[in-house]
Amino acid sequence: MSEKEFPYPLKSPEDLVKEDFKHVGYLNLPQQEMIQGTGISNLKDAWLRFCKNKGALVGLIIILIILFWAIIGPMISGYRYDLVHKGWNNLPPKMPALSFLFDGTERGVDIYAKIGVEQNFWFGTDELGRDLFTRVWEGTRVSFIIAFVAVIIDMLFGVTYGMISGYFGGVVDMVMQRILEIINGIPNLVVVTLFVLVFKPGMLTIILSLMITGWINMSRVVRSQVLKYKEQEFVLAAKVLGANGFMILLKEVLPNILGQMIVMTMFSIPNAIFYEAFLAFVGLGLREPFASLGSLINKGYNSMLTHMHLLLFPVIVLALLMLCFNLIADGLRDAFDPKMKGF
Amino acid sequence: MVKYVLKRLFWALVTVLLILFILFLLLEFMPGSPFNEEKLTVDQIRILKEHYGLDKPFFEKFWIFLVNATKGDFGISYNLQKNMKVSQIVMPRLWVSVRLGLQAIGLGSVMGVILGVISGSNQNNWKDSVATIMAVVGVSIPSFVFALTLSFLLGYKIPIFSMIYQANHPFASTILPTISLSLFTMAQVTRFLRTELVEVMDSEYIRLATVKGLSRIKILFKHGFRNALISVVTIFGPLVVNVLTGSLVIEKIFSIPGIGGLLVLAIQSSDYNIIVMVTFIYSVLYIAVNLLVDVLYGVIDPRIRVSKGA
Amino acid sequence: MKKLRVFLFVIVSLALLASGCTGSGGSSGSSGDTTKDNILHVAKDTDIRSLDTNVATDGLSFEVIETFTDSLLDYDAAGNLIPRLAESWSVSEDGLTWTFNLRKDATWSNGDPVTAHDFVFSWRRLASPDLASDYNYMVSTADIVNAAGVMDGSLPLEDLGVEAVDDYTLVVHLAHSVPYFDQLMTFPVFNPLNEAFVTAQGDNYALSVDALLSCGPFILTEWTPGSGWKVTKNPDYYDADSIKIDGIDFILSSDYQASALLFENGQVDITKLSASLVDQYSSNPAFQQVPDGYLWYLSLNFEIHPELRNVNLRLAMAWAIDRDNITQNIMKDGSYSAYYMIPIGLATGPDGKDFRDGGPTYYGYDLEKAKEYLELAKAELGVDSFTFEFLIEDSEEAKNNAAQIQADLAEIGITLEIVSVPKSERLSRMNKSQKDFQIGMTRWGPDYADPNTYLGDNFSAANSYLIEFWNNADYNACVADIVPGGALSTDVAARWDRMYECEAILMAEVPIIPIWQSGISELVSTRVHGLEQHVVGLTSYRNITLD
Repeated sequence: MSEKEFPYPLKSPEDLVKEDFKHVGYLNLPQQEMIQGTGISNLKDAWLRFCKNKGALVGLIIILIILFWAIIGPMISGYRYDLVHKGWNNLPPKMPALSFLFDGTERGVDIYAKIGVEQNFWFGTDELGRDLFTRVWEGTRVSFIIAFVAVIIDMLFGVTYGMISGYFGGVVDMVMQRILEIINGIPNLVVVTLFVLVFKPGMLTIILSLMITGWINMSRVVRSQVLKYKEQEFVLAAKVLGANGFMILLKEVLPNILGQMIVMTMFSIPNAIFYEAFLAFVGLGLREPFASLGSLINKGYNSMLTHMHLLLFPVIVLALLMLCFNLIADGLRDAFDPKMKGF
Repeated sequence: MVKYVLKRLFWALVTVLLILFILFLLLEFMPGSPFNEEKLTVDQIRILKEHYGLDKPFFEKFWIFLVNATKGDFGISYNLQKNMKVSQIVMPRLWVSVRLGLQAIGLGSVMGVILGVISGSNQNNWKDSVATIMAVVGVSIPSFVFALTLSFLLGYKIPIFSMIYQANHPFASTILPTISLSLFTMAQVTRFLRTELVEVMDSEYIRLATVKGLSRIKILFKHGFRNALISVVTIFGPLVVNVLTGSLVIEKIFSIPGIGGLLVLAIQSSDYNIIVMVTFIYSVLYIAVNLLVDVLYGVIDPRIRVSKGA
Repeated sequence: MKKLRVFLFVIVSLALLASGCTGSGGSSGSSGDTTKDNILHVAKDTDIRSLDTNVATDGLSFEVIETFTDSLLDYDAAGNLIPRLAESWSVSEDGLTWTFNLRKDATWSNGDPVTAHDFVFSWRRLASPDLASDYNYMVSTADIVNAAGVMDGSLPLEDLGVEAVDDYTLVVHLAHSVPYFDQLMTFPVFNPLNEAFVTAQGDNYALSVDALLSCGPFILTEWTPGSGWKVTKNPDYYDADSIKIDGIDFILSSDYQASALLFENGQVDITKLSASLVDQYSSNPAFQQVPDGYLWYLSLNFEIHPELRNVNLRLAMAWAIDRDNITQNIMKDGSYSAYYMIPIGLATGPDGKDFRDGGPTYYGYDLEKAKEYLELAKAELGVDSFTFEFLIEDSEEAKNNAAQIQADLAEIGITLEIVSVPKSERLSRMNKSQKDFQIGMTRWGPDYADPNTYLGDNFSAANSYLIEFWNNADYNACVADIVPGGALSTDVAARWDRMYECEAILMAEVPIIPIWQSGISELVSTRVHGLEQHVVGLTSYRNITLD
């Protein structure tokens, strides 16, 4: 750009006032279009990149399979989740297809033959003689809902709170962080116990409990990221160009911290699911006879040395879920990371 | 900086007071009472409440607590260790928890940093995969399953380590719980460090350093590591507090007299003074760690000024 | 180097996880007794709550207190009363005056002799409103003269009907004849206290091992709250020759699986088992099951649900619950199906037989009968369906059993909605002053070895809401005969028969629905002999010998 073409009269820097600058908006910047030259939309671009990541794809497929079973499993098992079989308590798993692994024996004794059970319980039965297969998939449904709610809460509360607190700083940050400390300082269990006074134990109580503290770690991470980015040149540039705080957060900061956010989300999913298990443990989780992965694992743990299967199956499903959520998180982060673009 | 820290300390005081006030308010509405033996008559319960001063109006109770607390007196236990001074119950357990917590954080963060660096600097090869899998396994397996498995294998099958806590061998008897407890710290640190390192290693200044011909190790530790630390420090704060304040399940499995189990027991049996004192310690720790983290931001990355507004 | 270490760690960890998944099922192996010292090692699932004889409320605390202090009387292995600190005792003709002659060779661990004054001091302290002991009602259960006045502070402590005639003669005056007063004297709340020592210790008394005096077979030498405690043999005990072990090491381990592993390692000799561990150990020579005195039952709130006043509805529920399934298949811990109100092993009658041995079993599990009763109830009430909220505490045992009861009642068309809350909250909500429940699962443990602890204390006394809900004239008349001071309080045999009648009224009306009597499953190493466990009395370690 030569000086001749400069359309405005030159001022010395001391004479510059705010009105000399005008925000020209994002869409008017010619460079923006040049980057998008390939003509692929952002989302599609990310999807293509995601598909290239084998781990993430495997994770997605496994999650879909688990989701499929969570929907189909209770329907095809032939048992209701609350159907008790008297006398058939703690039957070991028996899968004809995998008979070398699960043949209905426990410590060398074929329990099915011993008490004359003809059906096959694929995952065995629990301490009341309920079909564990049905209960595990019922529980998986609950865990999916909780995972979903946890993500929503993280995104709605955690991200917003962290961004505002970090970006505006000063008094706003001070007050908002003190509020966080207060929320975090009061033992969760005290608050949750109070919920039971108002609501019956159940899904609503779990969700409300998640809303109290589930998002705090996310907001801390987002805040720290915002603190880091808000001092950087491109944010300064946008500020100088007159963009308001909201636009800067949305357009400049958010894309940069997306990676960290996704990783954090993937951490809050297991946290939320374990938290549900903790609530079940203190009697504030789902009510009997309903099942969740958390409550199944909690119960199974008590029989870990005796009836391994009570713990094994819910833990496998949970661990697989966690593993896959993490793989997907990796894939998503790489796919959305703006800095990876163009490589 | 000094002024900033002083200001924060003032706010910390206000926050702690607010926390205690709200906690008192919540406890007022909490269902259950410390005196609820099946066999107590209504009259007896009234006498007990009078005796322990629980029948006083809310503000009076809170004020009495504040006055006593400034003298370091947090009252006595109502039923967990009846009539014993709460501080006598809480403090020994706090030290046990803190000791175990520090061991776990030490082990967890060393392992986490090693794995994170390996993973972040060898993106997408087998070393990365192994480290990633370990980190994922760390958050995927419930800690009690891991702990009981460890206890079964290394305490019982191959009896190398003690399966339960022994007050006279506080280190030797806490090796298994330390490993169990460090798993989550390790996983968190690995994941965050990897994410950050991948990002940092991709930035211009690292490329410049590479072009300058610096060795890989030097680049990693002199330039990459420091910049990656920021996010690790953030998650480290709450993590430290969580680990220091004990874990219910680990304490249960290894019979450790820690503070996590104490709080749950106290809440379940409505032992108010213990709840209050544990909460007090927990919130002071949390606030202190948060303050430390905010100060550390500035030290690690001089570009960040928490104290300054937008 | 670093890489190598990480690699090793990865391999080891993965191997651990893998082997953990496959290997931890088996091995109920040997009960390897590697400990060859003369010390008994016991795993306990709860901690000491109080070491103060007058203040303690829970079984474990009393069990510990009983290791280092002696009571007036005690039970032998078979459950018969035997003297301890009392050498002999007698009761007046009218049953109102009890005289205990104390042994003269008993001493406190500071050298002072144990005298009748120590009992007087302890009992006055127990009744004193200043101490506000949870268990002070034992003074009125024992019906000691002026108990009520002393407890509410309207009378001075000195008016309590207990006196030391001389250093070794203790005389107790009762307001009414209490047929089971001697049984009460085994209960540690009535144990003696050394006045000079307790007064000197002030608020610190019994808060640490140094602030305690011992007059029993052992001395408490170590207590780490949350971790465990140790007692060692008391060399100055009057009967020290009969104590064959050097001490007992109690380890606090609230996780039953961890305790079982400790047992297999030989690190503990005695541990309790949870239901699922019973499957694994039931054929182990160390496996034992003993009855416990707690009766678990459904409490029904007639106020919130007036239809529960209908006896046929209650009978329908009582017949529909398959208790054998609960005790045999779910709990498996030696619990008994309770088709009765007075537990097995609670009390021995004048004929020397257990109350239960002479008594009938009332109803059973019969769905057809249950449905018949329910049809009657529906017709009488003009109601088609029944739905109740079912309040339980959040223990594993309570949750499992509640789910089974829920399924059982669903069979006949009664819907239960389970609400599980922490125990403290359940107790509060089921307390007489709140009554904030519809159907609740609760329990009652005996205080002394007489059916009155259920019939009189639980089902009709002032602290029970049953008398408000279900005020049955026949039952009240029946109970009036058997309580202290009642028409039959001095006629042991007639009183015993009358108590069967009281129970029969309860069972015909089922104002509460008994479900099970708890039992304890435990592992007791084969090297341990002489462990004495009672339904009512405390576990005694004093006669134990070790191989």
